[in-house]
Formats: sequence, structure tokens, C-alpha cells
Amino acid sequence: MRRFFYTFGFALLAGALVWALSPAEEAKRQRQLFLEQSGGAHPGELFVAEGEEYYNSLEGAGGKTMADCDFGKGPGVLEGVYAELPKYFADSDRVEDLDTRVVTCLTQVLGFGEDEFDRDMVVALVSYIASFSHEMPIRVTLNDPQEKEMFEIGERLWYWRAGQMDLSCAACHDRYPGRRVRLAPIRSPEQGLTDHWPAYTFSFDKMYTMENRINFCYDSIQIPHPEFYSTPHIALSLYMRYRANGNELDVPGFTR
Amino acid sequence: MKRALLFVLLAALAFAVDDTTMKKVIESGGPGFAAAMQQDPSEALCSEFPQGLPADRVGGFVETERAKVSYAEPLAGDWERGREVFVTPARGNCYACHAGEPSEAAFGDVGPPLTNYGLRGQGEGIVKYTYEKIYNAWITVPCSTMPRYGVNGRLTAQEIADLVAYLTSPDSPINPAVKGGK
Repeated sequence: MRRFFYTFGFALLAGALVWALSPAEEAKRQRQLFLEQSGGAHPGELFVAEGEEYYNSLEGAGGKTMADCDFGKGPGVLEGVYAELPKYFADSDRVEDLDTRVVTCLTQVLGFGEDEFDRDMVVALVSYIASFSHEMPIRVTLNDPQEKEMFEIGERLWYWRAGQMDLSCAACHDRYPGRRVRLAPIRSPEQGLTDHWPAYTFSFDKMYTMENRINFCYDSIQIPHPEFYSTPHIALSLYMRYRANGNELDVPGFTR
Repeated sequence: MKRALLFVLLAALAFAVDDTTMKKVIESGGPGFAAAMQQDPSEALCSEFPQGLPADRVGGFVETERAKVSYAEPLAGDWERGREVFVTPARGNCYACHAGEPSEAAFGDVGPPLTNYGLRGQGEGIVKYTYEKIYNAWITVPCSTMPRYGVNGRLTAQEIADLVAYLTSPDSPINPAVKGGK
């Protein structure tokens, strides 16, 4: 009997998914469904609030605060910065995504040691800062030579087939957008693969950034994911975001 | 005009990221990532030509891949064990991309449906084709999205033979439309 219900439930769910139209609409529908199940509240907002608290309270050496950090539009400016990341920063002389930029802020501006902050704090801060770009179009540029090189690295990683499954990002996200892996819709960057990260992920009850999303992808194709804040993350983010230029950000996102 | 084309080609070459840089980037991801990102020459070739291999590379590619197959004896094993391989995420995980038994609704559609695969027959030819397809999908479709399960050691030769039985046997629940074989 129980088995019947499971099968029936799965059939309904699969039916609904097959019936759905575009992957973007499908994602929207799933999001609506999850939101209804959680009583209409967006759990991502809790992480944003946590990030806001960190942002306003953290104090570093010499009375420096997070407002002294430059996320791309000058110290203290958060409005719209995430829509333009990753990008080149002169002070660190490298291309950074929001995750690494938060770490740069904590370690270089506030002077924190590696043991004075953790991943959860970075994720909360990323969520808070990204929320200032909600509903803004992605605007990633390749004006700096380092940005251009990082894009090309990202492109090669995107097509890089390896591991026990012989897979690359492109093998699914370019060849089969609109189809499903089990019940999960596959999207290309143009279709919004990156538009809703950082996102609250329903099935893990966690807030995840774009770096987590990339890790999930590698893990699922049997390649141990790259370490947080490493170049592969920045390169792939830049590559995908550049392809998604003009797409509207939906952050914090809400996904499964 | 020719000169402009040449310039574009040269510029593309000059800007392309070289292998040394890629090696450094991949190593920066940590030892586990770097080890798994090592490519065999065929993976490298498929990465270089994501839109498909140039015609003059296909022959050599297929020959190389064919030499990597080792065969189980017999090629069709036990369909019940094959069913376990098919459904288990850490083994075949076939439902990720293929439809199978009609009662299973949570299937992907990246690959073709395998429901009633047995309608293709049970003869020596189809059995061998099926075994080779799972052991090394790149023989029949170079750079196919389907992993080379046998070549990469993701599945053993015996597990693949069991999958072959699961797909072709008239008794297999994946073949409800196949009655009494033949």
C-alpha cells in the first residue's frame, strides 16, 4: 500500500515535470511549490539577515569594518555589485567572485586570520551582499586582460571531459538543456543556470553560493570538487555568468 | 580578406589558454580535484572538439577505443543482478538518463528510453552490441555523453554482462512487450 502511494506520488510529480514547458518556467513552478510548502516565507532571507548582522558588526584591526571593503563600486557600496561579478580587482591584482572577495575583505581589510572566520560566515555575507542585486540584469565584462584569460580558462574547464563518468559541464548543460537528469531539469547558462545563486536549497536546508553549486556538479559526475575559493570556481563562474549576461538575477534563490 | 582571416586565426591561437596554464589552474583546485581531472587522450580530444570530432579523427579514435574493451564470458549474465546494477545510483544509475521499467516514473531523458529494449532481439549480434555499448559507448558514438562504464572501471565486466541480460532477456521486467523471446 505504502509502495503504491510512493509510486503514485512519483508518477504525479514526474507527470507534472514532463508536462512543464521551459526549464525556466519549471524552476519557477518548483520554487512556487516549495515556497507554499514552507508557509510562504523565504528561508534564504534568514541567511541574508544573518549576513547583514555580520556586515554591520564585524570589526577588524584599526577599527576597520566591512563598509571599508570595495566589492567593485567603491567602499561601502553594495547596490548592484554582485551583478558585475566576477571581475578584476586592482588591490588583489586578480579576478574574484563574491565568495573570494568576501574572504579578501575579511583577511586583507579587517585583518582576520584564517581561524577567525568560517564558511558559514562567508555564505551569509555573500547572501546579504548579493541580495542588493536582486532583479538586476547580469553585467559581466571582459575588459581587463585577466578577465579575458579567466573567461578562457572557464571555457576550457566547461568542456573538460574527465573522471569516471567522462563528463564535462557542457556534456549536459550545452547538449541537453531542457531535458532531465532523473527529475532535475537541465539548464544552460542562457536559460538561467546561474541566475538564482546564492540560493536556499530546500533538500539540504542550507544556503549555498555559486561555488557550492559548482561543487555539487563536480561531485555528481564523480570528480572530487575543487577547494573553495580556488581558480576553477572563479573561472567557471565568470564563464557562465558572461554567457548569462542580461539575465535577471533572482537572489537569494530558492531551489531544491 | 585572407589576411584578416589569418589575423583572426593567429589572435585566437595567441589568446587561447595553454595546457601549462590549465595544469596550474587545475592543481589549484586541490589534489583530489587535480587527480580526477587528468584526461586520457580520447577525453582530451572530445574536450577539444565539443561539437563533434573532425571526420579524419574518427577512424583512429574508434580503433583506440575498441582496443580498450575486454569481454565477459558469456556476454549476457543474470538479469536479476543486472536489475540491481541498473537501479543503484552508485553503480549503473541508469535511470538518471534513461527510462526503464514502466512502473518507474522518476527517470531522466538525456538518453533514449530503454523500455522494451528486448524487442531488438536476443541474438548474438544485439548482445555483443549492447555489451560494447555499455563497456565503451565511445565506439558507436565517439564522445557520446554516455560514460565508458567498463573502460573507466565504473562497472566490472560481469556487471555489464548482467546489465545486458536485464536489457535483452524476455523475462526481464524492462521488457513487458516481449513475450516468450525471439
